[in-house]
Amino acid sequence: MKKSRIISTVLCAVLLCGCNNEQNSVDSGYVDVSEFVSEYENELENKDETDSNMFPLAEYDDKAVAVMSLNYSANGKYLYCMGAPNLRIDGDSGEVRILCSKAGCAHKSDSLDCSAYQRMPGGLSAPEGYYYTLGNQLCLFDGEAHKVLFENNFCTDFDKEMNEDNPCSLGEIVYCDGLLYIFGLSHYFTYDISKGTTSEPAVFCDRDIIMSIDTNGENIYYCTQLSNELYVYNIAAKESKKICDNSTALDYKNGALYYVQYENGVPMLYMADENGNSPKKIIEDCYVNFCVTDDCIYYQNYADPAREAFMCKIDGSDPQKIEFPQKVTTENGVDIVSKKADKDLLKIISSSAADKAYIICSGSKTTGGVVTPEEMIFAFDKGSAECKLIAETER
Amino acid sequence: MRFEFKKLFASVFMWIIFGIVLAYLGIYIVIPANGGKAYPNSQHLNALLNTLNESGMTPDGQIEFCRAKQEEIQSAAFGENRADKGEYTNTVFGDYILLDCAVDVLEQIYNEIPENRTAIVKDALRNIAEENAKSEPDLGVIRMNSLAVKKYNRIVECGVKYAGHFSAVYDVYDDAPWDFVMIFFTVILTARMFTLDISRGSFKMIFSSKNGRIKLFSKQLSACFFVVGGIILLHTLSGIMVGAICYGVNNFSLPIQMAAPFSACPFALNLGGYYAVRTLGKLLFYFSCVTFTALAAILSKRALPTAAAGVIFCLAPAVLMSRLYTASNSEYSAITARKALNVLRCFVPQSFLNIKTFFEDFDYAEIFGFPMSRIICVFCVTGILILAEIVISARIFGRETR
Repeated sequence: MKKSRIISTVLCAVLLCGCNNEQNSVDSGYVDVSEFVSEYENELENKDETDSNMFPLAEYDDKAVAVMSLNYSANGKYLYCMGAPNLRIDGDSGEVRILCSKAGCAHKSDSLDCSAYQRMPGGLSAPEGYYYTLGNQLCLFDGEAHKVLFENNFCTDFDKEMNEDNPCSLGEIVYCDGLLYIFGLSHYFTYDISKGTTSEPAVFCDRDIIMSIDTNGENIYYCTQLSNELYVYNIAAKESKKICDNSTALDYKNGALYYVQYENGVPMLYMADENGNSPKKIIEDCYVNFCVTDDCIYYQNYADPAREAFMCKIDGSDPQKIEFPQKVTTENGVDIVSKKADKDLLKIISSSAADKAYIICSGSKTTGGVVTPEEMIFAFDKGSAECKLIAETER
Repeated sequence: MRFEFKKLFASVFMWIIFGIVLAYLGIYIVIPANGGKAYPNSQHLNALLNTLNESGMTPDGQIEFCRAKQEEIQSAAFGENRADKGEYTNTVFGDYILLDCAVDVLEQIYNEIPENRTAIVKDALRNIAEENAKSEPDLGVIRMNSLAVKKYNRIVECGVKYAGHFSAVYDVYDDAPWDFVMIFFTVILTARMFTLDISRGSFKMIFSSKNGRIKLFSKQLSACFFVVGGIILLHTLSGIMVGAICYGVNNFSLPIQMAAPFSACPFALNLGGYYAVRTLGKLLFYFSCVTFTALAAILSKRALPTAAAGVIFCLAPAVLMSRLYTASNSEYSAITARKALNVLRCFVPQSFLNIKTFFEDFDYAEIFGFPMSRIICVFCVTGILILAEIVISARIFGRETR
């Protein structure tokens, strides 16, 4: 017994001797800590204290739900891009920050706790953080932790037919007047942000999948995916009224309803009142990725093969073509050219809470003849057609 | 102790389960032996890397050299002459694959490891600076980030060598089905050991003096530890051999960070050390199964309830954690699953069955306000659990009964 104890102790010591591989001294490392810290502290003196918060926001993103802008949220001076990894981009400086504050995190796609790779679909940014849905849960990411606020257990027969695995799953979120409107496949309910309570679910469309939604607190406006119809649902009366056919995108802004309707395969932008009455065509050849701000409309042609982008006044007049600058830099004597891809379908993002409008498009970076695809982000001051390339990310 | 072994394996049922465990182990030798041929020969790769290292070329120069060579032989490698003798391997196609792997290894050593660690350190320093700038800084955040700086700002001396296809090794050898079968075997073995005397009516031994009863208990427990420990060591050794022969994992002095899945590991550990810690963890887990089942056997004195309790205690948490891992990657319950998993991984011995997760990134938790590595936590908890169960079992077993 004594011999076996000695042998096992020696064996453990031999095995564990291989564990320590420490070879460097205290002073050496990848980063000169004192130098980096003093440089960064100087930078911090010029920044607002709240900048270190992931969501230093004063208002809520009130964007409409549209397929092209699902994973983006513009709020304050930031653009939040959700999608492996989740990023926050400063619209002024172009600083790109990963949305993960976990200490020592390597931000890998298979990391268990990395918020940069946490799926946060269909969400919007807010002063509290980022609201999103995951399965049948309404969640909030406050910059450090993820919280489940509500779990939905309601579904209709249509939901069960469309999604057998998880009929109670939730989709997009829209903000209006202190309430979050959370949409399932056929129903919706509201979440009162200040009280933390939810309303009873209400069924508003149980015959088709919704592809674009917005609300003004009194009505819910939606386009259906299969039949491409535009409806207005009155919340108090609980009734839907069809506005038109061949419609695939909408946005409610400042008392007016904007929507795209196809005529002979060409998308047209219409403007109507809040009940969908008195429609007026304001732009010809306007793709579904249009974005309405308080001062202007940003849009892109679709039928025209050149697929140019434009900015025009809120009534569709005075269109100005947007020129996207290319960026040329030189590193170690090698030219690096970043250029937008021609005819690429753009993502145009803004909101009432945002300082700027953004256009996100695919592009390429050419370094000494080697071409790397990338995503390019251009920022516009609202009401201006001039833009600046603020960031390039690998997507 | 020989008598205890004879007692254990006097039953045909024990031999059947033992055979199943060994058969499973055999499968995990056959599978890699077939699949390992798909990977580049580590000797050729190390020879090429050695040549590059001694050539005096800069790191970028070495990578460019490999890429240029690849481009040169690309058409031949995918054409009719692909089976012709290559410069580094037996075929031109083999050369192409070898050069591709060499580029990956060089990129990892010269670029990815230093850049990733630099990025982690800078992120942590930024977090500390920003927290300090707040009017009410969170000391927990500062402590955690300071620890991250300390761990990652250490130069990893890589060496221009190929660490082998490590992820293939643990994909095979950390497979759940074998562990489930082994848990079942361990529980049955221990239940049989501690209930056989009672069921056979060996009262003279049981009612002998206290010293005699304690000696009997320690011999029975040691016999169980010996059998289980022997199988685990055999499993580990076969894994090491298969890894070395089929996947080129034969240089155990290389830093763990050179194995691709562990590039973000904060520990100053080498591959040999990883194997040692992994083996120790598995031994501790299976020993905890033995001690729990022994305690259940001593309390219930019947085989069936003992086996049931042992299977529930040992297998149920493993099944739960496996389901939580799946849920943490799913769309529907990722958040709650991850939170539960992070808590369980600190305290549950079954965490040792998936030990690689402790080494993949900065896996520290705040315990009573102080950052502590989850693997250290679970080692401590398991050790305490084993000791407590042994002490309690010995006291109950040693108590005089009629």
